[in-house]
Amino acid sequence: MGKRYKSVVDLVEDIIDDEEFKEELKKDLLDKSLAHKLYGMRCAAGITQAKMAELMDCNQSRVSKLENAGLNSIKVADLLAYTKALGLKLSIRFREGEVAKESPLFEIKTPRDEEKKESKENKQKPVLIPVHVVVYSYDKTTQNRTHLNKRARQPSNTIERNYAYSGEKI
Amino acid sequence: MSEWEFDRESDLFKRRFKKYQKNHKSEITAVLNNLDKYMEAINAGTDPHKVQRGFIHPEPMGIIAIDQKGHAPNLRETRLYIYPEAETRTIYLITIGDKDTQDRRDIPEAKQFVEELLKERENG
Repeated sequence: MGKRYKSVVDLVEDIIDDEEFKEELKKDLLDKSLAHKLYGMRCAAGITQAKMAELMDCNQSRVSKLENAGLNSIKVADLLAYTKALGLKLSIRFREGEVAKESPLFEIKTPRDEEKKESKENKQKPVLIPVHVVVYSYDKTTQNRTHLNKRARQPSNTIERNYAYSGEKI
Repeated sequence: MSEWEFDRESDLFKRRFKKYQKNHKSEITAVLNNLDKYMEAINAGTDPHKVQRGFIHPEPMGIIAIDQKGHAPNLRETRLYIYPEAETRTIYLITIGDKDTQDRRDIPEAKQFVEELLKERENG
């Protein structure tokens, strides 16, 4: 397996030689990220551009323009119409946080991203499975194994512990 | 389900892309924008072989060619050849070329790449 990249922006960082062109391209891709997200959601919903235009009560070229538009050209009203047509609800959230120079100023989350986040969180939660450990004594000469419970008949001689394993390890 | 990722380790891709980007910056911009859209579509849950759009061309052996359409007029016909592998959720970047090289060079090379990949998978 070779070097892997999570996004086209990551890929551009590594494959474009000309630094000026690289920055220009990254800027362009970030500018179009919201439009591309809209396109991705429509595809996943199995809706054609023509059907989308019908649902949004506009013409097909408007849908096409929206799916290629930069951030400055997308209006909140467009987003409302688009999400409504997909049967979704538009949610805008303002968050506090340090503005990092390198990172984009916004995040786009789709219902699919939320699903992924939830499934990741569930995966990380340890699943507690009680394990009963019983210790035997072992006689090398006779090669006999004796259950400590049977030999001593004392509960204190039986070592029992409950271990918690995470679901992943199992 | 995890996100799809790109793999560009093939020497063929490195070589061809390095050469192509020198004189075709607008075409590269257009093709990579279309690749980004394709990535959004499959990460949103679309079957990688069922993404339908003017810039996507299905080729033999599950290879997909992404072109430059939809960005600027009068760009040179460009094709970026990729292979989406569902099991590993990997998009292999195979090669890039134009209309002139697609039949005689790019598609045969892309097919060879996929053949070798499938052989590797069979042999574990």
